[in-house]
Amino acid sequence: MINKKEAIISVENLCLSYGSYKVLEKVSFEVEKGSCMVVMGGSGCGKSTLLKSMIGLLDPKEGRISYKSQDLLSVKKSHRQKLLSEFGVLFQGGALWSSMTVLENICLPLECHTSLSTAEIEDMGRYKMSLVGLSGFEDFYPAQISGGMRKRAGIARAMALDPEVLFFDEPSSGLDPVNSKRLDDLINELKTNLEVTFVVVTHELASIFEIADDSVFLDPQKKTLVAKGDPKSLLNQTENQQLQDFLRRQT
Amino acid sequence: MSDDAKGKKTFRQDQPVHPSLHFEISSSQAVCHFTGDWNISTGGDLESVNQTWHSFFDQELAVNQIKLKVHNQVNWDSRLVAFISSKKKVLLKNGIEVDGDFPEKLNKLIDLRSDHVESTKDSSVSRVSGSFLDWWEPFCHRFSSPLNFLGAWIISLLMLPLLKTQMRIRDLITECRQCGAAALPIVTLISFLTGLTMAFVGSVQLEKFNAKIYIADLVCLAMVREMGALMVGIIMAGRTGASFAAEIGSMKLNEELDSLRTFGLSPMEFLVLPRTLALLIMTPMLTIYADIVGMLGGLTVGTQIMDFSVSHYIEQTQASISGMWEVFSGLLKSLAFGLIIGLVGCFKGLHTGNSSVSLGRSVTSTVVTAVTMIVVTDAVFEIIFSALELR
Repeated sequence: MINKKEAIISVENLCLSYGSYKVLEKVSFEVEKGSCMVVMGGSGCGKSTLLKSMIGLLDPKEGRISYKSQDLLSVKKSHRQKLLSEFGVLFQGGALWSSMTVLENICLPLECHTSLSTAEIEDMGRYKMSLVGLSGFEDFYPAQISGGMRKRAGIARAMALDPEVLFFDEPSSGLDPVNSKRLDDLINELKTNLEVTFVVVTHELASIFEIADDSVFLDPQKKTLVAKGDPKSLLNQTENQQLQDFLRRQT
Repeated sequence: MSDDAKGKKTFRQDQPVHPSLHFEISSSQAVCHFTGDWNISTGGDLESVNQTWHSFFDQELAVNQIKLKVHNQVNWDSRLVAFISSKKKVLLKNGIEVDGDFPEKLNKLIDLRSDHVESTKDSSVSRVSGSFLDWWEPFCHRFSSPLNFLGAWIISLLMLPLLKTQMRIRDLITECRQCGAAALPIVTLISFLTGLTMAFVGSVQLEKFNAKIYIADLVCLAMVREMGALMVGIIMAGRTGASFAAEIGSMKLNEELDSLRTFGLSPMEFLVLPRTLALLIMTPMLTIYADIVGMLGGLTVGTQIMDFSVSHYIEQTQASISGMWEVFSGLLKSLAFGLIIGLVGCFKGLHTGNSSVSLGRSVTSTVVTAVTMIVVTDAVFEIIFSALELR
């Protein structure tokens, strides 16, 4: 990075565990405003757990997560909720609310958090759907559309409130190459034009090189962060064999 | 496998040789020879093999280097790979250098086995306190989580009159329709048959005392005081309670609850409140309906089998109810049953684990817990009513 931007999220000495099973230890990194941070690592290394902790769904055992210099773990619950409402999240399977149509899924956050009229909310919902190529599927229920479409609907819902930070958990899995590329382009567009910050958990190499400004690599054996930086430069610089294998798709 | 080995294989297929091993020792280096058939299909337990292995290392404490040798003649499959891998791991852990002299294919398979990632337990907690915590924490959680849930539900309910709730009226209406109107057919059938059966059973006994007309009293009082609420409670527990647990549990599995939370929507207000309120509203209404249908069942037996006139039967039914308390006591019970079913169903749904097995368990547990609680609550109500001389 030539111009160092301000850090919008900073993670310090984060330790995560499920009961007495340690998932990650002493993870520290910063996410710059308007950048795309990719969290990489093999299956089971704790990528999704780290993401859940960053969005407030899992309290860490130790450490600090700050958003706009405010510690998310120590602020009042109501204020924390307000800060977290600036996040948009796409879960691995889309996590659409199955009792609602796709359009209702996207409109619900707008209904609950804005005072816009119903007609305007629907317009906004339709616009978000068109951004992910789902126009025409407004009245379908999640069970009636394909897995890839559910994923795209999840992306549209995550963008519903124009969040400052978007967290994507495996956004490209289940998408065909064309839609995967389209999603990468969308991330780059939103990042450049709206200064949206992205935290993306993925192991799709093509996507990583396309979208990442910065990345962290989690090692499942050491249970911590072992490399950080732009993946293109990590490809040439790092001495970590696991990361090299990962980035070069070697076994 | 060499030709020689192939030749021996033919012989071994007829007479399989159980797996075995023996050791040769020179100065500080030992050689372990694997012999026999190390095939899964050959069978034979490894007890004697393990005994030989352990007794060797118990006796030869000075050994710090060992060569594991598998001859080409040895018949093997993944059984040998698993054995060597596990023993090799232990030897390396004990600081004994391991050298392998294996056929090429076996060597590759042993190399293929990836390193086991040790699950890191919290080192700050000792083994003893760790096991205590492993037991104590779930134990406390078992008691505290229903109380936390109940507390959160009461708070959400209190927020309702202040209009500080995320509950949507349309969700409440949908739930009312789902657990009320949609349950009418099954409630009709069960209640009618309950009234009918009571009338049949009662008529046989009352006939002995020439008091057949009291069948109307029997059916009416039993339905309004007890059976109407109880039957509706049991139907609702199996139908609606289970459906709440399954619905919310599968939402948890699909991360839908997490996505609600990330949008600042409380599952308690958004999912639990409309469901429990719908049951609170609909269960007493269904109970009134079940009371009437049950009495119609009694009327059918009274008029068709026992030859009473419809007006006579209805008059007797009206006379049997001394006051509205008889009806209200049944409705009070149904209100409690509705609340129990709603809360148990939603609680079990929210506390479903992350697997489809736990979803099934939640649903089963909902029905069992709700039905048990309904019967216990019913008994408690009767004891209280008797103590207060309300019967």
